Formats: sequence, structure tokens, C-alpha cells
Amino acid sequence: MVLSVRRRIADIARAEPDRTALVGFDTRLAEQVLSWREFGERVADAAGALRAALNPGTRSCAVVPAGNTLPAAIGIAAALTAEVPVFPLNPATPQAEQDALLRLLGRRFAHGYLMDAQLRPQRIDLSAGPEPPADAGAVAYLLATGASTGIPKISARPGPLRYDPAWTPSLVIRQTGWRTGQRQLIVGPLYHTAPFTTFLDAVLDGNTVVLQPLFSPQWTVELVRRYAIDWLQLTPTHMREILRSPELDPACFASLRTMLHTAARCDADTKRGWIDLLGPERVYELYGATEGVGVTLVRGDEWLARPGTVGRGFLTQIRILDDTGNLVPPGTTGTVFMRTPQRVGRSDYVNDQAIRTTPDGFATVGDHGRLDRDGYLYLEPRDHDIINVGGEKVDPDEVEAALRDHPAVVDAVAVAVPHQTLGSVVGAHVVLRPGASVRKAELAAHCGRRLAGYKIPKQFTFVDQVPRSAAGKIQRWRLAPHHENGATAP
Amino acid sequence: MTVPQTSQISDVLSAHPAVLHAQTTIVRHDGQDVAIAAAELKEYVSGPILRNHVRQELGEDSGLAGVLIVEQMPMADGAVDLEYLAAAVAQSRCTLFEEPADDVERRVAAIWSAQMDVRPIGVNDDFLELGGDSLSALGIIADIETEFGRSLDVFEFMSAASVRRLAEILR
Repeated sequence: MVLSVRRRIADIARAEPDRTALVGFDTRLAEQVLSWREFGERVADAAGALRAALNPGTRSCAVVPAGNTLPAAIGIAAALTAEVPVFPLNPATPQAEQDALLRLLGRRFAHGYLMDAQLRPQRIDLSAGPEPPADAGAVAYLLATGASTGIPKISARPGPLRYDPAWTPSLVIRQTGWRTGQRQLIVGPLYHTAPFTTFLDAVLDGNTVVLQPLFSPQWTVELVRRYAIDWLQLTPTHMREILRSPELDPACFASLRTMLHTAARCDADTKRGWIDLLGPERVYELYGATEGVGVTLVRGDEWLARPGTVGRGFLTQIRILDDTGNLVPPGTTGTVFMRTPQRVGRSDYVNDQAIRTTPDGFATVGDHGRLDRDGYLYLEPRDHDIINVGGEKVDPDEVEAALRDHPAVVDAVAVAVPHQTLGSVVGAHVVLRPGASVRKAELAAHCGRRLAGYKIPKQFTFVDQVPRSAAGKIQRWRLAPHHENGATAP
Repeated sequence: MTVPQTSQISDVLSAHPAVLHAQTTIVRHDGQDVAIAAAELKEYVSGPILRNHVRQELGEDSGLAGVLIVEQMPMADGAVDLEYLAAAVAQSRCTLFEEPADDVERRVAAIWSAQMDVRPIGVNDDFLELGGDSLSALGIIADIETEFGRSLDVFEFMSAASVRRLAEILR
């Protein structure tokens, strides 16, 4: 039976009032626990306050500063309960980017209601420009995307959100060993797509959710062990750092049925490290765009048979097309187009940057890749990331993986550096392990043992951290020579 | 076969809410004359769905074999470009309606029809283009396991995607 969010939360709270709904940590990192009864009550109160604040007849949305805190989790659930479109905002967004995002929201909404830490709605006037289009459909939630290109985009998911036992969670998530009522740890921030959507599924499917407020690899491992976590979603950055934590004990993961990774390309060493740690049957990878174009899934054992693949389309058809829109044969690289059932609500953009589609319903977000004969998809780096060294193409991922392989290196980004004769050469921004030191010549020699000459970085810059989005995607645009610390105005 | 009323077919298609305009014509394919429509869309709808819509409005003997979705109506000398449509049909870019050829195809088509509440189902029709979703996929997989006593996973099912290819796996 299809239920509203309000009804579904009330039903779970009535059926299992004393079971834990949420575990969070306050600013002093003291544990806070809410039972389903308490969670249900606080969501209902906040939803009531939000509804009371609304101006009838004015298109409004809720803005929730979405760190991994109990107020953020309650605020998101409350907005969905009140059936007010909710936008989870990265609380650390620089002012210029935040202004750009609010301007985008203003294209569709006249008022925003910022849910503060006490869950009191504070009105923000969004619309300085023309009235939002009257024919825009109902929206469940809005998510900021486009982190790796530097141009903020907001994707809107049609709504209102409903609980449907056949659809919650989606079939692909259920395929990863998801169980109703499971214990889930959320490591990634709630303002990012994957943690946000798995949080919604968790609430609607009666999970016990543990919210890790800030990432520290040892703490993640400890939380998995202490709360006997069943299901966990990570990014490749989380995975790398956890593998590097000292005295990593596989026994800490005994309860874990699933580690699902998404959001960014995972290098082969990290992937193998986790397959060794958990066994191939517990490692899943999902590739899919925020825009709901389609999705692929691969389990560790399939990946071992086809290293580097992101899997087969899950209820998704994949076509690789060349620049003129013609189908290319297996093994040939082109643009990845996908098609998935129409009934799955396809997101649209608040901006004008619509996804590219074909007349027969295939769509792309611009990723490049190829299929093998059995339909397994392999992704290639996006064109704008490739470093062109005098005509030789360098995949920055390969250089970064080589650098991270050095014992002194925690993280690295490879970028194009202008060069007089070659056009560009490879430069590297390197983060060293705390207390470690290494000479640039040694890093170059280390790369030389792993990479062809033109791929070896000719310039090294030591930095405190690499700019990454919450999803773990490297924000190369932040390293561009003339980048100003702000967003491109829409 | 009844002589297809191409202008009637075009009118029915053009009246569909998702269609901007449509043109119907006869092309030669495999030694036969088949009626093919080209449709320019306002919003996405698939060829098989439009074909079934015409069959519903004009009856099964409407004679329409397939609808090709085009980005822009292909024109030549002020009329719809016959060569373009013939080439699209020859390259299988336009799904042509075909009845099940044997018992396995008939049983598979009947399962699809029941689970998706769509009829008729041509053996070359694509599951997603007929409006299939994850629920109907699961229903079809379960019914096929019961009917044919063979287990089928969702990846196998999606890579087959048509009654004909699914029947090949099951035979």
C-alpha cells in the first residue's frame, strides 16, 4: 500500500516505539539516541512548525543545513512529512556559492524556509526576478550537483515522496543486500545525493541510522563495530583512508553485509584492498548519475573477473554513441547513453542545462566509456580531465593512483600545467602523511617506476588538502590557475 | 491485408498529446509493403506505444507496422522522405510489429501482456519502450520461472529485452 511519509513514520513509530531510529553526536561528540517514538514526535512537531510558517499560495521550499546531525535528519524528514520541497544545503558552502544556489532556487520558489538547529523555520526571500513558472510540477527534494565541473546545478526530484513497499528502496538498492529494519551507518554528508537518498530509504524502511558527523577512518571502523552495522555506503576517498588506517582489523566488519561505493571512480588498488578486507561478495559498486538517467551495478566477484568495470545496466539499457549519434561496436569508446523505465521519476534541472537525450528516450550526462561483449560498462575519464602532453593523452587518475601508492602520500591530484613546447605537462598537488617528508625527485622517481615518461609529473606542489566535493570527486576547477574562490553566476 | 488508410493513421497520431505531428507512408521491406509512420514529439513516448494507440483507435487492421520517432520530420521534395524511412526500417531503427511465430513466443508474449497490461505485444518490441518497469520485470521473471521451470535473473531479462530474444534463451 502506498503511504505518505507522515503516515509511514507514524506507523513505524507505533509498531516499534522503543527501537532506535537515529544515533547522532552533538558538537562535543556525545552520543544522542532517538527511539522511533521520539523521532516520530520530533518530526511531527517540526513539520507542524514548517506548515504553520508557510504563506499559502506562495511557492516555497525548505532549506536544511545538512551536516550529519540529528536536527538535520529531523528537518529533512519534517519537510518531506509536510510535503514541502526540501533542499539539503552544505553548511560550509562559501557565501558566493550559497548565493548562486539560492538564486537557482529562486527560479522556482519565492520563499525558502531555513530550518535552524532548533528546527524553527526562518523565512528567506528567494525570488528577486520573475515569478517562478506556474506550471512547474510538485517537487519532493532538490539536490546540488555538478561539483566536479564547478558550475552549481540543482536537480529537482518530482514529488511528493511516497512510501511504496514495492519501490522503497529501489530494486537496485535491494539487490545490494538491503534489509528492512537494518542498521545503517551514514558516513557521507546528508547534502550529497547518495547519503541523502539512502537516508530517505532508511527512514521509510524502518532502519536504525547512525550518523557520523565528520569523517575519520578509525571512527568509521569503530562505529561499524560498536553498532553492528549491516549496510554501509562509502566513497572511494573514504575507502582509501580506511585502508590506510593503522591496525585495521577485518573482525570489526563482521556484522557488515554490504559496503556499497558510488559517486566517483575507484582506483583498482583501493578496490582490491576492500575485496581483500571484506571478501568479494560484500563489495558492491553502483554507477549512476544524480539525474536518474540509469544505473549500473557490479559485485566484487564480477569485478575480479573484469577488473575496472562499473558493471551492467540494472533495469537500464546502455548505448555507446559516437559524436554523430551513431552506435559504436563493443570495445569502442564513445558517450555513454542510458535508458531506464519511465515511471521512475526522472529529475529535471532547475537550471537550463538539461541532460542530452536521443529521440528514442536515451539520455547522457556526458560520461565516456565502452561496453564489452557481455554488456559490462567501462568508464573513461571525461574529456576535460584528460591532460594532453604534446598530443599524448594522460588520464589523471592513473597518475594519482601511482602517487598515492607512495608510503608518504595521503592524497594527490594531477593537473595540466602549461608548457611552452608541449602545450601542457603533468603537474601534481600532493598531500603528505602527517609528519612525513619526501623529496620531489623521489616522488618523480617513484612515478617513473610506474608510469611512462610523459605521464610523470614535472611539477610538484605540496598542499594541506586536495579540494574534493563531499562525494569524493576531485574539484580540478579549484586548482585551475585563475580560479577565484566563488561560483560562476548562472 | 486491408489497404492502410495512411492519412487516417497520421491524423490519429497527430492528435496524441505527446505528438507534435506525424506522417504515414508505405515503404517496401522484405518484399512487402508496410505502413510506417514518422512522428515528431512534444514529449517522449515510444514507437510501440504510439503504434498500439493507433491500433486501439482504428482497429487491429489499421495496417500500421511501426512508428519511427524522429527529431525532425525527414522531408524530400515537399513530402515525407521515403528513402529515409525505408533506410530506418532496413537498419531496424523502427520496431515493426510481428506476431509470435511459435508456442514459446506466444507464451512469453502472453506473460508480458498480462504483467504489463499492454496489448498487442510484438515479438521485437522493447520491454522499456512498452512501458515496462521494475515491478513488471519482477512479475515477468517470476511468471517465466513458473511457466518454463527455469530461473532468470534481472540482468538476463534486461539484456534480452524483447519477446523474441527471451524466447531464444528459454528454448
